[in-house]
Amino acid sequence: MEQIDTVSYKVIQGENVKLTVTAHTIDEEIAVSLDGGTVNPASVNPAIFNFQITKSNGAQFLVVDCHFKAADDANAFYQFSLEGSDGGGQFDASSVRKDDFIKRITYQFTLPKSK
Amino acid sequence: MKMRKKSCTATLMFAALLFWGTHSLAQVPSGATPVTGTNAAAPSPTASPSPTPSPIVLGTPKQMPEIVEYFARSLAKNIKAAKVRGDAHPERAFQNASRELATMALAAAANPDKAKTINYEAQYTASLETSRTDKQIGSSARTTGSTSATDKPGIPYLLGLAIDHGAVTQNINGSTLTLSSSPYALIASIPGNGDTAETYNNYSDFTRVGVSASFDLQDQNDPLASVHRKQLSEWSVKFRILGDRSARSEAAHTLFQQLMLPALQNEANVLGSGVQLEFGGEDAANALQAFATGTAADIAAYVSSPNYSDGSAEDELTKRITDSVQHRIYANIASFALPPDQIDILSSFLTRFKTATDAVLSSSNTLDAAIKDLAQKATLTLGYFNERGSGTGSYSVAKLMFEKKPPHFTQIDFNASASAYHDPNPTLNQTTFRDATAALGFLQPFGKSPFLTDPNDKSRITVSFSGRYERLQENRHVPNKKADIAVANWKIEIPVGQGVSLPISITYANATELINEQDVRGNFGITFDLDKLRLLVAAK
Repeated sequence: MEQIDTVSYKVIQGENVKLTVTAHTIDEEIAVSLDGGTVNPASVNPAIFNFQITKSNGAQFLVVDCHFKAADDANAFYQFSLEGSDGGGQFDASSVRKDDFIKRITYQFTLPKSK
Repeated sequence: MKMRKKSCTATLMFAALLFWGTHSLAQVPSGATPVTGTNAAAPSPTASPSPTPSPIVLGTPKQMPEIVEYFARSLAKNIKAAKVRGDAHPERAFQNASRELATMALAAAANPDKAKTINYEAQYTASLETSRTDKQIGSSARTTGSTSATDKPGIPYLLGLAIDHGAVTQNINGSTLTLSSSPYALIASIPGNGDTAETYNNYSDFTRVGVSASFDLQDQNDPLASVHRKQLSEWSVKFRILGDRSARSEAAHTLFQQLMLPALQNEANVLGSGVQLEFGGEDAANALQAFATGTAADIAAYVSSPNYSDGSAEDELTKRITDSVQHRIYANIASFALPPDQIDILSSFLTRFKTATDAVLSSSNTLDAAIKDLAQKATLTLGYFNERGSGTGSYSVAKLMFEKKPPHFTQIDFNASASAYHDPNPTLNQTTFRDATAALGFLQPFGKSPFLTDPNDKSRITVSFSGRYERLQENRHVPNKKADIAVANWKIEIPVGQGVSLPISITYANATELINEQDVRGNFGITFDLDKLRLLVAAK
């Protein structure tokens, strides 16, 4: 996996991707969707979501929807990191804060151009 | 602004056919079947395209759709906030939502008459923490400076600091500085830990424990100069017996899963399917990447330029974002052509997304109400107090503190305690058993303090009335002393600033521990609740 920026990555078909969530001063309250399909956590504390790139071209999109309760710390935020099975290491994949207007991130995983 | 359905030219059809041939989209309904660890909803890479309908190029809106303008302004506020707090990359606030914005822009072009506005999540405040009335920040009822006749069972999360002047149970004018905290705060402060969900999961039992130390104040102009062992008048350890009622508790997480997660998951799925529908193809994906990267670069250049000013940033950023939508999406609309059936799905996206976000908002409010109810459940704390008070030898106190907030009634605090001397002095009629006490208090919050200007600060003026009975064994049969001591205490606590409040109390006692004379006195103090202060500062 190759990082273009914190929310866009170059991937290859069949690559397994791991999203790790670090929730600061808050419980893990997130929902993850890949192209509209639910991705359930493989583990919690920290929450880890695994999924596979199945398309051969174009792009796939991962939506990470975060929730904050009124009672949660005003400093609360989620920090994300991504790692692909095809190498490249672990990438800082942005964050979502309680005071952000949009409490979601949409990641783009772009496949190589078709020949 | 109506969608224009054009007949494609042969050239455009050819291009669109190429596009469609590589555009392996899948329409995924909202609330798609959950999968674990894989993406079952993704289209099969080996699926052959069915006979291809003619793609349709969306019409370009004549003016920027209202919802795009609204979304862009909201992102501009986020970017400005990131800049103000010193983030190295304020443009990331845009990047996070750039695909969502682009999806909205095209959906608005597909059906501009629907869902012009979407109500996003409500702005949160620090209200719950700032409205807490269960914490004992000041010194306990036994110290020389206490303004309370009852102790509360709540444990400060970070650090509480209070200065009390007066005395409830002793005939001594004194001032006391009290510091209180939880061992969890120390664990979370260890480098590498942080106060994360993982740390909380591993060490949440430590939030059950609270520690405090009270010091007799020598120099009231420099309170912290009194923080040394010689001036230590009381230290305590509290253990919360009943379970965690906080927003991070297991009970709260269960409520989240029951009341919130289905709506949140549906919202993510609706958005995910919409983005995939519109941008899953190769050309569209590349055009989307160009939009996101180009706009982020524009934003980064602006926020780091000398032209940036906080005063005009919101308007400037909004304009740059909407300009980019115009030039990189609407002016390039042919890159986003879709077959007619998918146009229909896209045109209903805003309606479906609005339904999903409305459900999230409704669920969020329901969850917040449930969390508030959870926080008001009964609390029971066991405390050990080591008293090194004036006029008597050192002694230990075991105290049970119970608190209940019945619906439509005042907060009730009940304490029961017994104490024992470490080294009783027979010449003072002391035995190992020192005293037993019971105290009952009622606390009623009233309106918001007029001294508070921060709208996030929901600290309220509270008025409490409490009574305390003490059976002091050593005073039995001693002239000029009374063994049965009753105290009535009326107290008003007025928030005067962020995390700062001023407790004022009037206390009547039928006698004090030292002399059998009725006593009426006033007490006052100042408390600093750093939990509240931290949240209020962060909320800005």
